[in-house]
Amino acid sequence: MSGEQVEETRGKVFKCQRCGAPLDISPETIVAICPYCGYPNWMSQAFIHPIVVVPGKTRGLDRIFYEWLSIDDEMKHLKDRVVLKNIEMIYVPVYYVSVSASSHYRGRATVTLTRTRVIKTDKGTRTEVETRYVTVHVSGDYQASYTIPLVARRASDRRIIDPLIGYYYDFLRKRESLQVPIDKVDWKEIKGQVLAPEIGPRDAEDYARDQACEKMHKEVENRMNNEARERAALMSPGWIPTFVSWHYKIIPCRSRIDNITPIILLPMIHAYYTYQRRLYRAAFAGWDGRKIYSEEPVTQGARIISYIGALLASGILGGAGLAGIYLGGEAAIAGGIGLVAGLAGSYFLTREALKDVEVEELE
Amino acid sequence: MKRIRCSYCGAEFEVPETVSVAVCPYCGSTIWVQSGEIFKEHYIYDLRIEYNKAYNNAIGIAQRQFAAPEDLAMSATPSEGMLHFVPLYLYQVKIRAECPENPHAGIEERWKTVLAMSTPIKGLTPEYRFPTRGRRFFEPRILKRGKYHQPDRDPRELLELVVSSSRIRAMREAYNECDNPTLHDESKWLGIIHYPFWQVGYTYQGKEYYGLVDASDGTVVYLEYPIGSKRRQILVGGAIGLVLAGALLGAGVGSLLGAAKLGLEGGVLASLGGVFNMLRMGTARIGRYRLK
Repeated sequence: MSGEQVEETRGKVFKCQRCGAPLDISPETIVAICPYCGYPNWMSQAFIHPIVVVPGKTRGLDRIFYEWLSIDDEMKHLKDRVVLKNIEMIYVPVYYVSVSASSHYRGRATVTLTRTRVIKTDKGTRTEVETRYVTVHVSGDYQASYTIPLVARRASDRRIIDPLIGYYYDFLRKRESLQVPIDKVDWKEIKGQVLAPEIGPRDAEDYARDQACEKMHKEVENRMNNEARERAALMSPGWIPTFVSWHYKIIPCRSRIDNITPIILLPMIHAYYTYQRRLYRAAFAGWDGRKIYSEEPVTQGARIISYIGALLASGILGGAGLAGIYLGGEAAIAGGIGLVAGLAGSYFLTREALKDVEVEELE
Repeated sequence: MKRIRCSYCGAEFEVPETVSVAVCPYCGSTIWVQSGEIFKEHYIYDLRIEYNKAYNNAIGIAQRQFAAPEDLAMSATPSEGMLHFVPLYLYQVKIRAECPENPHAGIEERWKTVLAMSTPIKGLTPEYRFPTRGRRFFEPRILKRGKYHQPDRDPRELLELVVSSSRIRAMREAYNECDNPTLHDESKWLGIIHYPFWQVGYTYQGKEYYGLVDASDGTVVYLEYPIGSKRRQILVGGAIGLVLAGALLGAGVGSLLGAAKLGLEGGVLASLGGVFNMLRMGTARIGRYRLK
């Protein structure tokens, strides 16, 4: 695919088929959207696919940033020393592909079961743990549908784009129509850089199948583990299943593409700002200004709280932990856990206290 | 070094022995060293970030670090930067394992970039994800702006490495459905990309520090920074405080359980997790930032 394109595009100057403006073509561009008139110039007939735009806010990008500064719980205290360095609107091309996946799975596993018994002796009681093994067959049918979002670019900053496509998916699900066919858009109103799509719809479908099958595979594995445990527990009342080890596990995946959306150009506002000369980023959904990603300064207060947490974790958990080990019996187990938790707590909380940035992402 | 002759313009130039693909410094053609064949797919990423911006990004990230002195951004003076063009190979993995009843029994689809030089420049790890804002065709004039690094790994050998695990995965998926799946492997090496990085440098209190910034999108990849003397005191003091508080609190809790001495030891022991972090930063000669 790319090979053919390379031959076609090399060394030529491309002009928009509608307005004649020069086009910026990279070797991977499948469609060049004219920056002047918005006309989609397809590089090959094979890729032609509908394109829609979610129009972004056309003015007041700065205002969206400052609004966030004034309402965010942490940022509103810092806003006087914040300097906005750069803010821009970027349109990211995205597909959402609905895939149905199904599987007729089967497998055989050995399940480890344990039972705890309290035995009375002359000196009091002691507990004894018994183990047994049961082999079970598991089989069944599984069906699921997934919507796989795909960025139509080879590589992209997933930390920012994943929350963006996740947030837009909420709108798609609620069937809130924000998208406009590209030929109905008043292009003079679209301000920003449009990233050219580089992945065609057929490749997008193959990608989506691959990802849907991977997802289903994980779900089926969980289900098979649970079924194996349940089956083993039914065969051995009073025993608790713990570990499952598989002799074989067969999970075929059949996938079907139910739907692929048009290429959706999603607007994203990307900002760089400094706070006391320290550099941070923030990103907002371009259509409603909702913050989707931010890097924020770590405040002195937050550092102190983490440090105090580390003090308490090591002192209380560590102290009680080692003392507990000395007491013996069941307290010893709890003590061991406490000591490890204290060590981990002081390690992770000091790391928290010393970190350089607080990252917030939309779930 | 060995001398090769460009089969396009006829110029002769020297390349290191290990190089398998070379770029003619006169006309910019990309040549297979062994066969002399001219190779067409050579791309370059846009240089979108000027040195000033790269420097400001680097110093902004340096100032963000806890251990950096408060006046770092104010007092640091930039030194001369250097633009590096780092070679990557771009691969498309496209594998399908087909069963009689299901043509999509196993699918592996992805693009992969692999660093094409065996000794990468300082601060660049093979895991770096190269962000794209559109690569474009290679133009030799761009070489004059920076230091061009020759690829010295064999792209065909790397293709094997890139696809072998995907092939196994696709076949394994297909074996779930039938005994004799057919493998369709259309994976290919798409070409060489040269990716720009700014080597940035600055001086603070007479010492030189080094950093590496993605010159296509401005991401700071690697950075060295000084540890401020006040910060050093806070870190070492904080570590001592952690041990003392651990001992005191531990002894207190321990005495409630009838084992004050063990409690004290437990508190000190647990505090070592945090002490490790604080002393590692507080006693370092210089700080190092790496993109996660």
